[in-house]
Amino acid sequence: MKAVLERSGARNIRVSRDEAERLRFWAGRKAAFPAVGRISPDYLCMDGTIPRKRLAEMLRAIARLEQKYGLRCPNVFHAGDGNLHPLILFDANDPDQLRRAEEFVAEVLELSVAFGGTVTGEHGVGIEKINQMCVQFSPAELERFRGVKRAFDPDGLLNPEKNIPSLHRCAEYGRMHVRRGELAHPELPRF
Amino acid sequence: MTEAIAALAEAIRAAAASGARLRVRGGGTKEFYGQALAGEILDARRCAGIVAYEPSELVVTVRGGTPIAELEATLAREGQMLAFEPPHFGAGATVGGVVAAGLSGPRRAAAGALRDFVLGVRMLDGRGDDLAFGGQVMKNVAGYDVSRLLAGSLGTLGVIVEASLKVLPVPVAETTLRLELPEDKAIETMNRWAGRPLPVSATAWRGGELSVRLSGAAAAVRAARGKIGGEALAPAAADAFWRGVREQTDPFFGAQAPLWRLSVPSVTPPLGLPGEQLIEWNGGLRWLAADADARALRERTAQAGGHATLFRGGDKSVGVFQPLAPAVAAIHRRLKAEFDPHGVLNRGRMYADW
Repeated sequence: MKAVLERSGARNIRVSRDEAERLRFWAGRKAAFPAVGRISPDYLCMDGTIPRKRLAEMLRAIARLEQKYGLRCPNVFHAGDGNLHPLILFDANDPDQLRRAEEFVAEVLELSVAFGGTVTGEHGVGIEKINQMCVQFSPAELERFRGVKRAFDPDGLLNPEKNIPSLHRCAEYGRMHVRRGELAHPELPRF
Repeated sequence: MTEAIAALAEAIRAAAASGARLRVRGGGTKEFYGQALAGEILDARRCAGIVAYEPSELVVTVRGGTPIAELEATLAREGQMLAFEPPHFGAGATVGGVVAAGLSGPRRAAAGALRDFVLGVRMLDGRGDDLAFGGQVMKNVAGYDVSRLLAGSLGTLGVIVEASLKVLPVPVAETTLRLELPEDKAIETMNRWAGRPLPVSATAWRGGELSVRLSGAAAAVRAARGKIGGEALAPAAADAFWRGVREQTDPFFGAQAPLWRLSVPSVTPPLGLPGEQLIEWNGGLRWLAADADARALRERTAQAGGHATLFRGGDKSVGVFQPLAPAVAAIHRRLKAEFDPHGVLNRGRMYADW
């Protein structure tokens, strides 16, 4: 492991010497979100997952988006499986910051799809990422999802309007389906 | 290759328009499996080849018509494998057929089932629509998990034209041990091992002999061997044995009687059924070669919390697969209607009425 890390340019390798130190190392990961909560009144946590080989490209793109939207974005993520959790910092009392944060989110999620990934690796869709479902899936694919929903819930009783966007919502959102190279030069971050 | 997919889609659309039925076929190695074959053959092999394979990402994307043996050889050159160890059941078995059959081999209890390794699919549904679900990344919870719904769907929901599968490194060390144990003790022993941190990658009991395969780091395999005991098989003999279990070429499967596949909780004590058994997956999978009364057999298996499939031979009129509870059967029928509204694909392959 040490050899692999050094070959890859690691500048500082520390190995825990006892249980207390091991726990201290992991406290940094476990307390990351609460710590971010202390440096900003609000934050939006994302969950896009991309092929690991594109991590560096994605982090550079996020850094550019920080400039574009004038918002900070620390990154804490599962490096081993490409599942990112960019945390966009903003103040919900400022409507313009909220708007910029939401646009920032949309761009990062759409980049995740363009990089060959997904808008959510483990958190699920619910409502917050529902618009980006229109980007990741084609109208026919979304209709099959609605079909699966109908198969289990023919009367549409369970959590309507969550998880799978309606046709109407996608039309209103008006973004394009970006998979399978249908978007010209998907490798380029779009600004 | 786009033309091959377009040609398959066109054949499906034409069948849907004319009310014809299609029987999706890859290598034709699993035609013994399932309820009934109906319709004109739709040859899925014309759509073949590896689309993308990057060993460092642990993912391979491959066309459905690719021979599974070709895929496994490609992975082996990079020291990787399909950890669910799929049975081929003959030369020419294809990736699409393997995924549609949803069958896993001896490593299933340790590594997970085929379904767990399906990261994404590109499919043609019964309208001929070209659809993609899931993707190429390890974690993905966007939308319903349709790619895994296709695992084991026997071609009833769509033709798999492309699948992205998670791959894993081949274990550094492997050894197979054999112990003499009666059935009850063997079931107890396999479950005891499963509850301990041992690198057990496969188990099989038949005729009073329990075989256990250990896979992993050399030191771990060596240490586990000391704990388990028994006689070690020569590597070639071990490979031949597990291949025989996986491919059902082992002498056990040579019996004339129909072959039943009983899926039960692994801790289920001996079922006491007439006929010969081969037990895998720490007790969770019990192959039974017997001229059994289907109803009695299914009742006995259901009492244990499991189900019984008539895997090979026998009288299929009893239903190859365990009859479904009415509410569950209704969900199956509705899913079929959503993906294949004209009933074009593999009608009656899973259950007679759809």
